[in-house]
Amino acid sequence: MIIGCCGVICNKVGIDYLAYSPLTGETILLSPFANDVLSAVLTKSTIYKDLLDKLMQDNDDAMDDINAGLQRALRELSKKGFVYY
Amino acid sequence: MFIINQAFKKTSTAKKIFLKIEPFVVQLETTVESVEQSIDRLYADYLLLQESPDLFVDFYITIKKPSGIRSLFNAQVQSYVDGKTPFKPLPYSQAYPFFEWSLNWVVAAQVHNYLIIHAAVVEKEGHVLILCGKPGAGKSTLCAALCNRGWRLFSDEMAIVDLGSNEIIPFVRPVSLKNKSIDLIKQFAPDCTMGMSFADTAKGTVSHMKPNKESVAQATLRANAKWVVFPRYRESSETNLTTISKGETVIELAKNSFNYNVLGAQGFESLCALVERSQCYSFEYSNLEEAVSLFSDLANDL
Repeated sequence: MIIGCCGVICNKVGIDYLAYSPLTGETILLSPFANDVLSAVLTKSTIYKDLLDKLMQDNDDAMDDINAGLQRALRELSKKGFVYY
Repeated sequence: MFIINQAFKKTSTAKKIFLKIEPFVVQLETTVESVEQSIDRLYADYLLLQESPDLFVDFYITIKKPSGIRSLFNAQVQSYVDGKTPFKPLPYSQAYPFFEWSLNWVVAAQVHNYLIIHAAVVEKEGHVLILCGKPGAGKSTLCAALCNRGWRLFSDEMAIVDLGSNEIIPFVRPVSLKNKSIDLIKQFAPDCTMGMSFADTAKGTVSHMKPNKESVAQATLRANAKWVVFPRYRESSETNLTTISKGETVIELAKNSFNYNVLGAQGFESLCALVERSQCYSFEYSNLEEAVSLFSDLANDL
């Protein structure tokens, strides 16, 4: 299960996506893809396959690229205290 | 083999000064004559308050010779902030800058009802320009120059942000100039009032520029941020203003904030709101006149 950490806030400033985690005090700049991932997880805890399916629907990239991008995004978001699984 | 400092054999009476430095009240107690002289010169336009039981003091700073065995050695001065000694003593000759540094420290360390960012701040026509950068980036020099060309001084040290309205609150104090900047500003604005020069401090030679009367008189007038600029002085460089992303600006301001992590989500929301309404730039310069003209044009174009 992939779960969003408690109290995480996302904000769009200009054209940039930012997020803040009270768990680590980290503020991060998100790519649009990472923002989609975080927003989806914060909206509803999910399993990896469902998250991948959702991102596949929303993106035109090849499945392998999305899979690799999702793994990378989840690793980073987890390290910085935004999601856990 | 110790040298007993003859200067300390004289006992002097501590003088208490109650300074209204908006938005705070500071009690300065000192036995050091050069501190009194510098206050008289640089804070001449400030409201001095009278001691009374009703007077609420935010910070108590005492600048005097250290107590105990230290007082017997080389001429030193100690800063007591709210009765505590957060710093090691400094040479006696650095007593006045020690007061200014102590005040910077206590505000940065203890004031958490505002978001506080390490930056110089000036205002024109109700619009605030925040100059944020590492020490030595040239923000105080640029701030001093702008204040001598019609901009109102808010602070050369910190941007104080109201967490409710996101307005910037003036914290008007003498502008601290270092090394080459001192002569640069003296040449740029021969009419400005400078304080004493203090050599061999941790920051090199330091001197303070007196804030102008208008800035002190309007120290309760807040304004909203319009520009966030990260200046960098580089010898012989062209004057160059480059737009940077708002996301990057939030990250950099957070890094330069003293209490962003203490404020948590509130600090994040406040910073995002401040940056959202601002134009954000990096700025490289070497020619002060060109730099000042550029910002004046920016303000006039509104």
